[in-house]
Amino acid sequence: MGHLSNRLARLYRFWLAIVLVVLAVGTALDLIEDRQLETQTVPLSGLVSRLTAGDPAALETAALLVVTLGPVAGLVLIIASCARSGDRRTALLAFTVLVVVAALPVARSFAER
Amino acid sequence: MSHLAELAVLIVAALSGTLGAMLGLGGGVFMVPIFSAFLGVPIKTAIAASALAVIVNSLGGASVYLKHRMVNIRLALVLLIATTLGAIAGAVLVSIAPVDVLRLVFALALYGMIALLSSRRASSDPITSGADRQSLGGAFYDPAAGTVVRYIPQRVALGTAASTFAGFLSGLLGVGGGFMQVPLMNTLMRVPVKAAAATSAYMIGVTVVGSVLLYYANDLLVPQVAVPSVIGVFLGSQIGSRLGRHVRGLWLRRILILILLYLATTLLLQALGVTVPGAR
Repeated sequence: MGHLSNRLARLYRFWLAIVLVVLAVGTALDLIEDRQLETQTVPLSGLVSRLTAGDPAALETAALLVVTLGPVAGLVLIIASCARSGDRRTALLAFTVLVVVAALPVARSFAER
Repeated sequence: MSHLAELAVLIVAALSGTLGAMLGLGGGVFMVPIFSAFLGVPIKTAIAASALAVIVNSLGGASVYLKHRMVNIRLALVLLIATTLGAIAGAVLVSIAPVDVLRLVFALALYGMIALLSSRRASSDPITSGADRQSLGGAFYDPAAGTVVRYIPQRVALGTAASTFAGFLSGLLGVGGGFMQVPLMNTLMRVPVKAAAATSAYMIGVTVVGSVLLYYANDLLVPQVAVPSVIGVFLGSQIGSRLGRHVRGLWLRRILILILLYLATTLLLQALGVTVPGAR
């Protein structure tokens, strides 16, 4: 588990570093453009096209979405590492967490209807 | 929103991140009331920004705790399954449940946890010998005590069941579960408070991912609030997780008791129909 802890810590640090760089660039461009931070995120449907156009709001939204997926990336790393090292039990536990976590927003959307 | 208000959001988020990372909480319990009651942020926007900040706090805090091997990954996974299943049940039942009655039950449960945390049992030495059938035992170096602390979690089945209940209530009330997980692990499962806080810091990030994606889909994530929150909480989590390693467990428990007291009283007042500024 010690080895896995170190790998997970490195992944989290790397993940946060990427997010902070993208967020810093997006925020700086946004403030230069109109001296204000955005009041709305960019919808997923238009995100890629606006990112390629260098839209600061898209950069901010992308950073916020990437940081949200950090814990999911951590679970995927646990599954891959444990499966490779033969620790099937922990891999199965992490996989179950992933499935259950994915079910939560579905349940919430269902409840909000 | 003025730049001054954005700066205030950043400072509040940094302070919340420091306390949250120290105690294994997300920090939402501090951010949401202050953002909405004192900084004029709409409550739903405050909740969405604080949920995102919880993830940043978890990634930042857990990266430090993981490096020092204080997170019990296997125990976290077992409890996460239970907590999230409970949260799903809570989220589904939220529209039909009598919320005020549940708030009252929740407040009483929190007062019970405060009593447990104040008892001698919470401060007693962890169990280091005996059967560890589920291989959930852990060990970490405690710089404040200058020694390696070993422990074997006790009453795992009961702790998991209680985690399901904690998740159920958190799903029902739309709050994170950190403030319940730490006392549960510490008092019921006899996990040392520092390992409990570190393990909870890892868990809370996983728990709120689904909610944040929903907030994004529903246009509740406002960059004007979310961006300074993310930056503030990141800075706070770096300070808090380092402080958390060096502060004595007794002090962590005392701070946790104060926060639980605030939460329990808020819920009790809401259950009795009293409006609490900034409360959800």
